[in-house]
Amino acid sequence: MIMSKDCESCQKKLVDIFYNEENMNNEVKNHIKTCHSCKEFFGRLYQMKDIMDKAKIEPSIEYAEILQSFKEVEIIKEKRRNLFDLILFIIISGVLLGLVALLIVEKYLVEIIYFQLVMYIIIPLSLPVIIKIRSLKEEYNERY
Amino acid sequence: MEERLVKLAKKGDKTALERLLQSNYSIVKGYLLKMTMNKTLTEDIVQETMMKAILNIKKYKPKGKFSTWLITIATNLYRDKLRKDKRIIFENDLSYHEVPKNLEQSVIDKIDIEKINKILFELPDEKRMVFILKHYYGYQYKEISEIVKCPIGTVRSRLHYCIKQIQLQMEGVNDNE
Ligand SMILES: [Zn+2]
Ligand SMILES: [Zn+2]
Repeated sequence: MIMSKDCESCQKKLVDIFYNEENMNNEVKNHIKTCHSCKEFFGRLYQMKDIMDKAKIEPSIEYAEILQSFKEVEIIKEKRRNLFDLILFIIISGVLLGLVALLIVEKYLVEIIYFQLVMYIIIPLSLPVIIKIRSLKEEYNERY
Repeated sequence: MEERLVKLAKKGDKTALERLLQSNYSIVKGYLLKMTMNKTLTEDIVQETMMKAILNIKKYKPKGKFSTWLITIATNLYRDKLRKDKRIIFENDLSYHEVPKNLEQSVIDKIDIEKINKILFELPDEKRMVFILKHYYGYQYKEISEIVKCPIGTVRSRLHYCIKQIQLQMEGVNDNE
């Protein structure tokens, strides 16, 4: 069957009308009145719908699956956080070591040793404070 | 309603996001089942879609329905899978289908549904997407063009192509009635 350009564009419009994208207009209406093949095409759209609708599906909601997704995302986020912490740690220690090396080059070795001795005493004292902050944070995370 | 939930979800309200995912779960899964005709693959993509949505909810810019966003994510994931593995196994498994009322009818329906699924699956992926979104989920051309990322004119001609193909193939389904 050879289809005229009019029919081709008419049938495209019929699809638009069928799927509520466009309203039926006079041009299309008049064409269908006189064109058998376009009229038939329009009818077949409804037939197609009846048949295709048999294969409609409505899967039930898997609530557990949705919750699982939230959990998986938490794991991903935790991993990202840990990686971030690690990178931060590497950067900070790199800078500190560089600083120490620089000071040694600048002949401040004795002062560094004094400084280290002082730090060895102060850091253990600050440990209880750090542990307290950490546990407060964890409590917060567990609640939310 | 949805608008309010989206606002809350974007602010970090997990319950709101959970409810949004629940109310759009069926659309996303149904669409993917029709696209892949494969249960395992569908389940994988559904989960990945939800995870992406949870991870990126703060970046989501609401325009139109929330489901449009989810379907866009799902479509991109499906395309990725296709790129990685061209042969997707066509299962035509109906276990996810609602159980019909009487058995005799159900056998006829089952045969028809299998035929329909086969007709659908034979359509090229990018065209089938358009048909499924339009026919089964009633998305507008504009929404579909955003989901599949192509102009409205292309959406329109893809839909037309699918309908022509389906009508050509459908005579077989029609005959046994
Ligand atoms: Zn005509
Ligand atoms: Zn005829």
